[in-house]
Amino acid sequence: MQLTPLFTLIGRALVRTVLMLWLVASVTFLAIRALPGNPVDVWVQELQGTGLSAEDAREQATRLLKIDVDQPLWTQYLDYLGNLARGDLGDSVILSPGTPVTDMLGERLLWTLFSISFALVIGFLIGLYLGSLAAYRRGTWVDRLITNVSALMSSIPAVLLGIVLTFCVGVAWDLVPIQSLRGAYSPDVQPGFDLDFILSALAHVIAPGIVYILVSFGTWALVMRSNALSVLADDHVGQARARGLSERTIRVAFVQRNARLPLITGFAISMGFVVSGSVLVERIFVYPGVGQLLADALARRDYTVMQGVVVATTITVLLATAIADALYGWLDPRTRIEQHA
Amino acid sequence: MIAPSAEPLVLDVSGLTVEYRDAVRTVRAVTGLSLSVARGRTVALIGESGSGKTTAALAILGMLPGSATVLSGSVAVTPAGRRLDLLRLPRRELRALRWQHIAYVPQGSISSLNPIQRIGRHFQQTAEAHALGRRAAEARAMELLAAVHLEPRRIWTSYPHELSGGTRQRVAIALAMLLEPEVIVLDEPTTALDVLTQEAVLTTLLELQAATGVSYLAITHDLSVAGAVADEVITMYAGRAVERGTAEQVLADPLHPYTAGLLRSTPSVDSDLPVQSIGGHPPSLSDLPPGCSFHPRCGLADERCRSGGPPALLPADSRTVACHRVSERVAAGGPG
Repeated sequence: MQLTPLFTLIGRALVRTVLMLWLVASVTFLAIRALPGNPVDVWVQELQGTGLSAEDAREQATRLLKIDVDQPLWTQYLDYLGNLARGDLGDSVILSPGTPVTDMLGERLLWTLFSISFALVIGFLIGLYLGSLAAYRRGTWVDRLITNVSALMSSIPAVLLGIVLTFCVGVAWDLVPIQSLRGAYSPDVQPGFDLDFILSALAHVIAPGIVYILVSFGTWALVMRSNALSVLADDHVGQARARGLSERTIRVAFVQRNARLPLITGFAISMGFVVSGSVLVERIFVYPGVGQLLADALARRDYTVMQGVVVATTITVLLATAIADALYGWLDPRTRIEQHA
Repeated sequence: MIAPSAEPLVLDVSGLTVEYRDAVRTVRAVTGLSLSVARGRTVALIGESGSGKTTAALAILGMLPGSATVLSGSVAVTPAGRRLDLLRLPRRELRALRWQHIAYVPQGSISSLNPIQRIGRHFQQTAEAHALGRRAAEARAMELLAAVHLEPRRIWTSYPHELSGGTRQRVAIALAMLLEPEVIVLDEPTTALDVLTQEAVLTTLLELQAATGVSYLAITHDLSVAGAVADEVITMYAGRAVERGTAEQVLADPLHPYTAGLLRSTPSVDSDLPVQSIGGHPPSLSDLPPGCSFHPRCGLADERCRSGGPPALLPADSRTVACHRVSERVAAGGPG
């Protein structure tokens, strides 16, 4: 058997990743400039409104954007790609003029990834558990309950759930001091690797976390249920029963392990969708993540920041997918690259 | 009748009747099937797909899907002289006892192994479930894998997808032998294999039988398989046994028109007779014709075959046959 050398596979994956990045960066670049009312012009006008002359305004714009706005579009595009290749996403133009976008992202992305990966992993595990439980109890009230609740929860938009939760728990029933849970951690705690800070960060992640868990587990439960049902019908499960294996062994080693495989890739992709979906949830809970940054950037047309967020989200998804691929290879021997022939 | 074997029975099935039910209809897949397998012997159930032979096998193993119900009958095994009816054992006990007395080589063992587990793990799990020590199990598995002509070490660490169809079938046979059962149900043991591999697998099965005295219940539509391994053959049609006799009798000189039709439709190297298919289709089990189920496809059918109930299995020419015309001939004095 001819085996593809490992470095060729890695090389291909790298080329694919770079191509994807280039594609997304280009589309973002063009889309933002295609927005009605060229944001660069809008911004130059705004600067002029503060009393600058037309030349000064354009000069300042060029300096901050690190792109000459008087140049033709394709020159701007090449400059932008060149900067991107060096890891320079430009400086914020409106939200925090002069601050490098990468710095703003670095600070925000961490919180978003923390809150989302925390919640998504929990939602994923709950989904796997409920889905397989529903499959084992097919046709019973347990199955119907899980299936209906999952379908309902997966069809509720995260924003709506966030608002309802905030209102019920925080305002109407007044169970949780929701006001004090704004931000990523309490203002009286110093960031650092100590218990106070970690506990505070965990307390603050609970509200958006619960929303992410509630809106994500349903989809996993439904997919897991149908996968588990199909594995349960496989010959090897009947055969395992005939061989006298305990139901526990069958569920863990046969049903769970086989049924969850197709979900791994979906899970990685969902990371990206939730990063972009975090816009509104982070707004509701005033959580200082990348979603809120994007919302602010959109509202005030800080288009270097917009570009930065989209590029960062893309990198996150690509990374997550690469990790999922590696994980899949590890979990499914059929896709493993055999070292021995 | 078949002369009673001197060997004790390791499997004794009587009056087995199985129905499948769903919201709209009821299908009787097996009706009143009786068979017994003596130690070291092989019984083959032959018939087309839909004849009920696989359902019979699954019922005997207690592996029927939830939509099926056993209406009547018993499946007796006699481990260490203790007679047990598998159909009446509590689930837990069945699970503990089954593989030790009656094991199974499924149809298409390609899909009968967990795709994400090494072969060795399958043996280990089976051993763990039956309180067979890890070391003893591994040693025995190695012996068995060698006995089915495989390289034990390499197979042990392989995943199912790394093995060929014939190899997987051999693995399934070794797995069935792990707990030294008295009888193994072989469901279409060679169907998915090419002709040369078929031959090799059948030879291996016979070697194992000679060495261990294990009995087989083989389910097959392939008469050459039945001819190669079986001592006794039972023809099934529309859920009923229609002819039963020694392999030599039934396969060389079939009495039931259906068995005869099956034989004529099988190409043979030894015969110059043209291959002839049986006209028509097997009947729908939810809508059986009155009288003998086979009469719409039978060249000999007369008024008696078209009405009333299905014919009973009656002795005829040193075997049993369920056919009015054959019984008439026997009553009239010998084969016509």
